[in-house]
Amino acid sequence: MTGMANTSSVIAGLVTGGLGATIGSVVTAVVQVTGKRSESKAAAADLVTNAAGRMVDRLDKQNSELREAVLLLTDVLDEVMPHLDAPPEVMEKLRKAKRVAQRAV
Amino acid sequence: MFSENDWHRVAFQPVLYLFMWAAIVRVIVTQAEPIRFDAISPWLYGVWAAGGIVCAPLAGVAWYLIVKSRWRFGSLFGCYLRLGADVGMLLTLLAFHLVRVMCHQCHNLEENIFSRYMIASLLMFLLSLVVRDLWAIVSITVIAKRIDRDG
Repeated sequence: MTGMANTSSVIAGLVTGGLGATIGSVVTAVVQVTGKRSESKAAAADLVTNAAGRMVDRLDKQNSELREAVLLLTDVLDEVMPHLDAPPEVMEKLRKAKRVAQRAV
Repeated sequence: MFSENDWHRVAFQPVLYLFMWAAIVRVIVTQAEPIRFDAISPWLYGVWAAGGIVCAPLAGVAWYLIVKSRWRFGSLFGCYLRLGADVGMLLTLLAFHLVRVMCHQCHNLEENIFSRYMIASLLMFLLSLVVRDLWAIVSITVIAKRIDRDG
């Protein structure tokens, strides 16, 4: 019987605690926004939530643009190299640069 | 998004919150008290329903503030609202789960065992959301201190 009463009080605590936490979070949010250091906290919140995602998106876009550019360059090199009249060491450098670029993408 | 090769995560939180909110609205509108809260306290059912009703819209407001809002305090305000909504939802479901577990007459019914395990999985999911929210708030506090110190 005591165990049942204990469980009941735990459940009552959970239910009231849930509503209390919800109301408390609104109050805490207001306090955080109006309190001191709110500007630095807002900047930190932007970093934790939005900015990191935006940064990853931007890096992804840059990465795919770079890949496209390198692929285009290696294609052009494939077409141009047989017709080039350059010293052997220059041609070797070009071939090496092409291999490195192809490995990178 | 489903045709890509990696294992995509599906946004389950809005689906869960929408259905939990709809379920609580339905039991309130139809006045079908789902579980025996009155055996514990006469006012407990009202508090439980109020908590369940408030949490899902609060999570929606938090999402708007964090993702869409142009208000400079939107992310900060939204993070605290998100924590409150997720804690409220977790405790609402946990209370429901415990009251059902306490129902001794229906312990060994197959449908009861199956649904109890499914609710337990939802509780684990909600707990992970609360941990995520707490982690975000701790990170905000640490980074804000660093900003204040280093300028």
